[in-house]
Amino acid sequence: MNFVNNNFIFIIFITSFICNYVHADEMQISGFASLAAGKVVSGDRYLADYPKAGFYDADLSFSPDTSVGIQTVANLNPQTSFIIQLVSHGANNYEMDLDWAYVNFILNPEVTLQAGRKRLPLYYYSDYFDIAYTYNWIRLPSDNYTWQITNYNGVSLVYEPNIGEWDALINVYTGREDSQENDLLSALFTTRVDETWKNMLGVVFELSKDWFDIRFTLMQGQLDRAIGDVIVEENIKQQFAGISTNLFFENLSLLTEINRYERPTSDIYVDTAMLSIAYQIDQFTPHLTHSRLEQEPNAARGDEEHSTSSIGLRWDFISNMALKIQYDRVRDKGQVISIAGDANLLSVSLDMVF
Amino acid sequence: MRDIIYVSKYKKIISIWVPIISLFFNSAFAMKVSGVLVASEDSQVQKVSIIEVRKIFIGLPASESSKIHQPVINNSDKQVYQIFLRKVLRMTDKGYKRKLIKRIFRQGSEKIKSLNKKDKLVQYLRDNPNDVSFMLKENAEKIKGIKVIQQLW
Repeated sequence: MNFVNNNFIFIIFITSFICNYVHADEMQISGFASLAAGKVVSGDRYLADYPKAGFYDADLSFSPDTSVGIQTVANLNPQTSFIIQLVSHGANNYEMDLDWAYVNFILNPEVTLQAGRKRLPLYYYSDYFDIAYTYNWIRLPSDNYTWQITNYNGVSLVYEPNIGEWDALINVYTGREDSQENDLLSALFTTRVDETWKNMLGVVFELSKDWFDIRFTLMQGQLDRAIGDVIVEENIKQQFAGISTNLFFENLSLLTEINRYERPTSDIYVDTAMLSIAYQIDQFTPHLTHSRLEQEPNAARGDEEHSTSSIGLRWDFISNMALKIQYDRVRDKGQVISIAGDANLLSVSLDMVF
Repeated sequence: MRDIIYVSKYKKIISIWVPIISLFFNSAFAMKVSGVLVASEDSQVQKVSIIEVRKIFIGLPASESSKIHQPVINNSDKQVYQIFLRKVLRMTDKGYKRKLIKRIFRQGSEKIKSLNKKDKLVQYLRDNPNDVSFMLKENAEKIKGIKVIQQLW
């Protein structure tokens, strides 16, 4: 957040500077928005957005899942473009976050090199976390998407070959992220927590056909953490691995995702999983989802464990706009690490891309 | 009571046979007609492989040698668009839209222009000589100011 506050004027300046030098035809603006409202109908609180610590409670709230984003692409020349994505999140009091700011070099039609600030592509939906229009849910299954670091500054190489009738994507990236007063950790520890993920090296491999896609992800790096002014973790090795497969039949879709996070020195091993089934009937897509997070109990009495079952309906009533309603039931079984307790949530949203 | 049973049977027959017949005619139409890649007659666009046509229409950059600047989706004829999706892109309309949106927000790909009026499409191609689109061969050959680059199906 501080990064954005300190650099927001600089970004606007850079954008204006580029706009002056780039012809109007070579400038593109895209955007997305989600207007969401929800209310806990049973229980105390529901953590809808882990990265930004967006909680619902018994009062009707519009903040946790509401967001609006603008993406600007300036083509400096046929091989080089500059991409900026600014997002305002209700969960962050509508302050602007700089999610993407990178230069894209096309080395050849299949290979691009990107340098700057990007989303950390750990999970299947990491890149579209805020673009709710791209998925059926109001928000991504919370138990699965529990990351405290969502972006990185670094370099990324993307190779997109064709293998027979399959589209492939291989993405290798490296970088780091310094998160001052991290939203999620500061909320959970109820004090200021600074977290750094450094020396990150990751690879994503995707293979897709129209009706099927599969994605593998692997990342390793080091972690530093300070709670208050006390450094509690330094140069701690961590790794993340995941696999997701999606099947898209004519009207039926089946989505799965399994991930494992390990920090052996701290004796932390966390498994997450998600299964979702949806069936499209004209403009309507009803869906059922179950997601869970389970930490292996350790000597430090870490026992985070929660699961969510959801039922929802998506209505694509206009091109590029979808209205959604969803009912979630979370069961929090953690005794020492309890996130928000058991709760049931009813929410609605209007999602769009433009 | 008998009337209700008849109506119910009638509905069942319609709901089963109409999609089958429609699928049959669509397939027959696709087999009978040829689709082509088109551009302005002033364009320098070169013939490319079907794989490259597919890549360009899903948002990947074109090779330099093709001289292609941008693809344009021809939405003026829904039947031709559906055949193009099936024969060239090998995906459904929903899958295609999903792919395009993801590329825009994940890799900063440019939005692919989509035109739903034939006149506008033809005028657009004339005004943008190195942009390409697709249409039926028999239609393309009758339109002044555009030329066939290659057959797609």
